[in-house]
Amino acid sequence: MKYQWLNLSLAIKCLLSGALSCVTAPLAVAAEQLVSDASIKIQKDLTSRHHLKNGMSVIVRQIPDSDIVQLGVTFSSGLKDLSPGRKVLNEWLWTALPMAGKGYPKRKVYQLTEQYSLDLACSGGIEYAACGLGTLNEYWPKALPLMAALLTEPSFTPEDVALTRERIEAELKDTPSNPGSYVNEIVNSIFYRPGHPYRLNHDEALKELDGLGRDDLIKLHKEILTADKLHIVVVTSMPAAKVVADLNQAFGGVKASNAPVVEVTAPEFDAAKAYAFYDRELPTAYIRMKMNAPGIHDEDSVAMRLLYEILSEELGEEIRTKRSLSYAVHAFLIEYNIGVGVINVSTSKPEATLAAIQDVLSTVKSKTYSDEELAEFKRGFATSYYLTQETHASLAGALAASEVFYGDFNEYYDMPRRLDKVTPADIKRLANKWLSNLRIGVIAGRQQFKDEWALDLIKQTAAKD
Amino acid sequence: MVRLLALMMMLLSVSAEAAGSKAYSTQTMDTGLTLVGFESHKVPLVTIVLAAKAGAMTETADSNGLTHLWEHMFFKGNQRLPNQEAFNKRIRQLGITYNGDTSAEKVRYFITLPSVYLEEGLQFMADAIATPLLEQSEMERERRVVLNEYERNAAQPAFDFMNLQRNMIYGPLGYRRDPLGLAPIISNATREQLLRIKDQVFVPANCALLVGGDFVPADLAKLAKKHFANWRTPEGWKPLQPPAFPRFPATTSFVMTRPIVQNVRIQSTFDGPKVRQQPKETYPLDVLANLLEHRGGKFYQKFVDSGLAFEAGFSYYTQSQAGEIDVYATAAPKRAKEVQKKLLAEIKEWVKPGYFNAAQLVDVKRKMTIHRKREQNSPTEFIKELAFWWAVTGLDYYDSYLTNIDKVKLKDVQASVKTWVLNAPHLDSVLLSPEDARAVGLKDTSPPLAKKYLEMYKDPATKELPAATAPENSASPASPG
Repeated sequence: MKYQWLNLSLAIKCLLSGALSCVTAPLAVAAEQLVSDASIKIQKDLTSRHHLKNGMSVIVRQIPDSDIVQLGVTFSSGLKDLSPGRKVLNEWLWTALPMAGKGYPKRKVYQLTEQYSLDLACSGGIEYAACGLGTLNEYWPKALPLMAALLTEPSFTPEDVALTRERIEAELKDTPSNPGSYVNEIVNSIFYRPGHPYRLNHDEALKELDGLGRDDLIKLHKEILTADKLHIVVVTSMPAAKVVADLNQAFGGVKASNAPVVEVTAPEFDAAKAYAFYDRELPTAYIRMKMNAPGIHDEDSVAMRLLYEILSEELGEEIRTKRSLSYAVHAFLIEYNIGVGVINVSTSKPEATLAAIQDVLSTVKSKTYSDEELAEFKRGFATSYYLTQETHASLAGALAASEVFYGDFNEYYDMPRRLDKVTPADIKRLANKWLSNLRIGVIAGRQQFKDEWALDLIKQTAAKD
Repeated sequence: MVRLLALMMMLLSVSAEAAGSKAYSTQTMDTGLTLVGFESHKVPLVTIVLAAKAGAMTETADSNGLTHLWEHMFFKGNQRLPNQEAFNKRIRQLGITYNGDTSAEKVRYFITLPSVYLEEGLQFMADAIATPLLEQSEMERERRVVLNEYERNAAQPAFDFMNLQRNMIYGPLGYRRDPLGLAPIISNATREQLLRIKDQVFVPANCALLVGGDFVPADLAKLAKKHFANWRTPEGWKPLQPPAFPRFPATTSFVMTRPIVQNVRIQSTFDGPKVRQQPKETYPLDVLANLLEHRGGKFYQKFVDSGLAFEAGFSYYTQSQAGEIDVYATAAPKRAKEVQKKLLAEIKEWVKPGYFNAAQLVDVKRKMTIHRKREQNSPTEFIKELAFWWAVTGLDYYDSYLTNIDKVKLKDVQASVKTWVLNAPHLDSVLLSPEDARAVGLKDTSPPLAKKYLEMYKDPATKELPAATAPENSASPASPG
């Protein structure tokens, strides 16, 4: 009796909430299609596109059974859009901007964020910047005007500019202290040549900081506040019509300007400049490798994600499990307008580890995975796909990224169907095309690491053509 | 049909009310295993957590770090999946993401997978905890991985700083707060030691199975019984009773220099309440931490908003065996002395009328309530969070937490400051670079203390371990721990 009631209860909840769990594929088909067409359809049906009076696009995703609301405002402007000499503004702007705005001096911002426990923050990225507001439905009428004032009419008071400048300077100076993150900068110094839109190392940023000030922040804000570069995503249970009406009040006055788009080209490989070493005595060497990959718009984009998932598993199996050379070894793909493949490892046996990486790269290039093996690798994507949808904030982030890169939120929802189509032949083809021309950054003691180990791997994995 | 739907909606609303404020269910199985379920159907996933009241606190001086090694071995072979290859294949087949963590007072193993595989996931966890092979050959390989994890920690500039703090406070029992343990012990661990740990702490009576996400509660109870019934607590088992820590030392201090440090870390550590013994003492301290974080408050204004420090605050770490309180700041080197002096002096202000106000107290309580709501918005994370509270405080503490927080008044906060911080013994510590120390006139006083308290962390033998040969089987690339 109890069991029946619980099932009934679940059925009602599904009916009321549109929960994705209600349309999980039955077990019989689950092995091949964990994200069913019905599940994707429900998500799409719960998502709608609207336009503000200035043409700005707004995506509203309904989560019917929750009073949490997440607003994401994305600016299609990031590090890549800033010329050398101004790049540090990307971080500075988004640190200083949320501190005060027209009608909202800092004291009032503090008062409101504390009173309503608002989760309000901005961050500047390589391709775009994102500001998020997490709150409850009941505080939305107070929170939205605050957010709008900060984003559209920030004050940049001299005090806040000075305060944030000092914090950024301290953060930048602190960059080398964590070898795990600093090794990324070491490899970036050779991966992105001077002048590349994605390049900014901490010492360069510190120099830039010397020549910049409040006027530069105000100028940059003016440049990027343009309706054609803004995307809004709201994840909420509130009716879309109400949300859009509120957003019209808040952001409908932002003008469009058709700002130019900076084109990004893939970094060029030069075997003579593919290795950087930083001497520091540490208990374990930190090694990070980067290589080119297709950009997010490439038709092989989803297959590349799967390739890097496979590569990461194979590296873990060989280096961590079989040879016990490292606690932390993994590979992943960064997808922007250009793609970047990354292999990351820490080890106290770097020579053996680099040899093992070479073995794994060779294996992945030469092996033809069976359909069954590929299906197994794909299954983990279903879990991460739904994990993204668990919280309002992560779902808003995924939809915003889809909007920025594709101009279409459906691209995010449809990813499982694109993944279904990837074949073993695709994996082999892409491995041979892209797993080459490594750039290697190393942090280790000079006595611990010989340059030829890295140079040999670069030579062995250089593309033949 | 409309009438039926209305009736069903009414039933649903009654059901929700009957559930009260407790968002999850608990029961104790016949084997003594606690079963906790948090039902949420927002996405078709389940997260399964196995938690144990174990960690550094249940180790001895010669087994320090082995609970963490055990955590790694959990993800190796067992009777059903006899080798790493089979284990990894199963992980891929079920679309599992997984990890584990070991701290001073809890161990958690957790997997997330599509909810259609709930039963397979429960079986997977039951096999891993009840029938691990703990083979010596696997252990030889895995401990090298654990040692590399240790080395990664040791590569951080604050590694020695934190070890010295802990060992100065807890003396010879410092290892009971150090889940990472000692490299020589990890290097020389034996299968017998791990088997002993299994019987001491990884038994149903000392563990909880927590499941969050998309499941039907009645199904969960049946499936848990089906797959965990054969996992038994050894006859005559009793929970380990960790020895009491020595009395908190008299006020003392040290300055440590490390070349790579850029900003100065300033910290004063005090003895705090032990949650299972003094639960009522913990609530005002949590409120205090939030009051000091309040951006409209005097503390935040004086230390952070003024630019005096990059960050400054107060933390109380809820633990059952020890309860450290930290007053801390990170600042530019030129302000190190000033910040340290002002930080300690500020404590006297906390007990004065008007330092905190009633509106701030209301804000803080609302914030803590909203935080709970947000926690529950992510079933995957919430169930792990519950595992922490189950192990460290017991779930009754968690259930009544917000009610007790709501009762805290400003005078309780002030009384708490007087009891635990103001004029209480404390360890003052500063971490900065040698150049900055010279520039601001601070002397590194840590070398003799390090000789006394940190020698055990040096282990040249770990560098001499023979290279492992490649076994036939394979392991997961994920990083438990």
